[in-house]
Formats: sequence, C-alpha cells, structure tokens
Amino acid sequence: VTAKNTLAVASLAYGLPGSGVEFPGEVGRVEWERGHRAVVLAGLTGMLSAAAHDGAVTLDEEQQADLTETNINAQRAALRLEQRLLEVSDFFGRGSIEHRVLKGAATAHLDYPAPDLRPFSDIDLLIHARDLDEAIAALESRGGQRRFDEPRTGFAARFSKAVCVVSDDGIEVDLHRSLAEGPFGLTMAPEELFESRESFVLAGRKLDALGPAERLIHACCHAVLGRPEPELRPQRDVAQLALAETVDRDRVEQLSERWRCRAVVAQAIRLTWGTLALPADDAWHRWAVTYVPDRFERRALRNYGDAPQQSYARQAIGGTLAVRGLGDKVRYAFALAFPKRSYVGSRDRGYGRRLVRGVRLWLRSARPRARADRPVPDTGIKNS
Amino acid sequence: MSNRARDRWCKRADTLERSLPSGVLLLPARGDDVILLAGTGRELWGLLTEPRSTDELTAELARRYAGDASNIRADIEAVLTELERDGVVGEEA
Repeated sequence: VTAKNTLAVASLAYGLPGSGVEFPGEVGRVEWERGHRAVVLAGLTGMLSAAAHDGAVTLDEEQQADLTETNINAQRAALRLEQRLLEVSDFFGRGSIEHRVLKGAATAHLDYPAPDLRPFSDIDLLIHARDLDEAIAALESRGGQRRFDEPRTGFAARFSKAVCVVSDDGIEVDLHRSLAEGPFGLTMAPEELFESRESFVLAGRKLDALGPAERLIHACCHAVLGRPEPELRPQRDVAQLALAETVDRDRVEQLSERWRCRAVVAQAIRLTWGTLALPADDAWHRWAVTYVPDRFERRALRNYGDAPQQSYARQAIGGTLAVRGLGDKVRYAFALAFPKRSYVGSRDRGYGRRLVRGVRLWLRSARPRARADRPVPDTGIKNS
Repeated sequence: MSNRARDRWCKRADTLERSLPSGVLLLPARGDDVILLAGTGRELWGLLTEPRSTDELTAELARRYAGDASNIRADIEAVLTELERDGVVGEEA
C-alpha cells in the first residue's frame, strides 16, 4: 500500500501534530471498498478506528461495522503475537540468549500514544551474531522451521539481516543480526545496537527494546530499504520517533554516520515529510533536504527501493562492497557464488537457473550506473 | 457466590489487553481464546485495575447506571466467574 490511497494516507497521518493531511469529507462506497482494503493491508485499522471514534472521519453504519470487525481481527492477531513474544523471550532468557524486541510490539508500546494504534503482524528480535545459531536451534526445538536455508553454514550469523523461523501455527519470528539487508546492513555494527535500551512492560513482564535513536534509524531503514515501493506504516513510525522529544538527534547523526547510513535516514525523512505533509521548516527536514550522500551511499542505495535492479539477490551482491576485510569479502562472495545444494534448491531450483539469474542481474546492474552515481538530493516533498 | 462478596477481585497481571473504541480485548498469558468485553463489561474491567470486592463493584456500577443493585450484582457475579475461569481475573491474595 503506497501513498496513492487517500483514506490510507489520512489514517496514517491521523493525530500527528503539524500534518497537513486531512480525511475526505465523505467516503463513498467505491472509495470505501478500496480505502478500507488499503487500510487493512497497511495495518492502519487502529488509526482509522481512532479517527472514526473521535469524529475526524464520518463513516456510515455499514462502513463502521466493517472497520470494527477488521480492527478487532488485527488487534486479536497482535495480542497472540505478544503472547508468543513473551514465551520466546522467556525461553531465550532461560538460555541466556540476550535479545532486544524490534519494531512491532516495541514500537506499538513505546512510540505511540496507545498500542492499538499500531497493530503488527510478526515478531522481530535482535540477537547477538554469536547467539544466532543457538537461538534458531532453540526455536526449531519447539517446532519452528527456518523459512530459507543459508547459502553456507555460518553465513547468516556473519552476514545476514535476519533469519525467519515459522512455527506450526504460522507465527513468524524474525531473528535479526542487523537492521537491513544488503550493503547498509553490513556496514552497521550490530553489537553497538545492544549498547542502549529502553524497556516496556507487557503483561507484567519487562522487555527490552532498542534505544530511541536506534529505533528511529531502524524505522528509516524499514521505510526506504524494505520494499520496492515504500510502505506507509514505517513512515508513521519515522514521524512518531523523529517528532518525539526522547530522540537525541546528535546520537542519530553519530550512529548513522558511523554505520554509513545517513543517506537512508535523510531519504526516509524526506519521504515521510512528503507523504504526511509535515512542516518543511522542521530541523530534521532541513537537514535531510541538504544532505548529499557520499559515493558509498549512492552506490549502496542503487540496490534498494524502486531502483530497476532492486531485489534480494541484487542486495546480496551489492553487499560485497560493504563487507569489511578481505577474508570476509572472499567468504561472502564464495558463499553466494557457490552455495550449498539445499539453498539453491529453495531459491533458484537448481545451479543452472542460478547462473542465468546471476548473469542477468549483473547485466542489468551495469547499465544505469553512470546516471545513478550522480549526487543529486531529491527533496521528496509533495505537499509542502 | 454470596460468601465471596467480600473477596477482592482484580485483573491478573499477566493478562494481555488492548483497549479499542469498540471494547477491550483480553488474552490470558496461557490461554487460547481472545475475549472481547464491550459496554458495561468494559467498565467492569476498568474498575478491576484496583482490587475491589463484589459489593464495591456493584455499588459503583449501580451509581453510574442508576440501576437495580441486585440485578447488577447478579450480572457482575456471572461475568467475574467467567473471567476467572478464563484466567484474566483473580482474587487478591
């Protein structure tokens, strides 16, 4: 769901101070069908329900009944995920596997006025790279199954963003080593993510999340590096955090400079301010529109978003430029060039297909290079 | 139930909950079923943030709704029994 649906965008912006986005006066039948579907897909039923309850948008009886039902379903799912989160956190705690709750439950409880405004659909935990294999084994011992195999043994713990483990009831637990796939995930220092924390209480239990500055950087990564077309909800996460007084701007700048992802933060701010029509004179925005990405950032960004060569495979190949140290570069490239049979089987259905896809990706990535290397900052402002 | 009127009821701390415009959703720490409380059920849940006896709960809801206390008490007792069975409320130790 992108910024094209007015009901979804108005729901996204609801209650955000300074936003110039407003709900349409009346919601017709066709608009409701499209808009409601977009709101459900984007995980914005909580926002729209709050808006309807507060009288910011007028819905007829049938529309209100639709919304009540879909919102209850979304919140019910979030509660079940919280229940599982507590079980997994307990289990990891007993095994001394240190972890931080990412996104979903942490964002809902720490960064929004009430958790029902921000339902979520999976569980994300940050794990130390050294504990990743143990954490995966722990979930597998409880019936979980790894969604994708790794190219070579030890690859995930050294280079991956996350490993997804699916339980038999369909609940997904993403065990993160880093906050992004590809080059930006590889320039981060994941151990530094454990240096600060903020806690929240869930059913009487204290859980640790990342610190506020780290949460904002993660939200920025999610907003601009996640899907070819930016999702809406991560943009609200960016706005919630950036506009909160608890986030230390200097720390965000220091961390993002050290992790070589200032361009990601700048792009996420420009995107968010544009979608939510936030005031252009805000300090974050003033910084973001003047920020010029360096050469590494420009090259790395080509692997994400709506760039023509965007794909998981392309991000993986692009990661070569970010892996530190010659030994690790060789290990990384070797694992991707010559993965084990089970990995190839699940991703490419054979070595022949993998070779053909690799050549195509290489050819496609070679073409737009000259144009994409130009350092032209895009203001991203649509509504200011 | 009448001999339990003096017991003090409260939310169980390990209950997961979500407050929505349409009611409150509850999920016990080890339960399978999500419970939706709407209307006066939601108000009752709100009152259980602090331990209260059935007498106190009855008096408070009778004051808010100007209803018949004996009917309200019967409703409260039925709901509390169900919530206790579901594992989301308990008696204060």
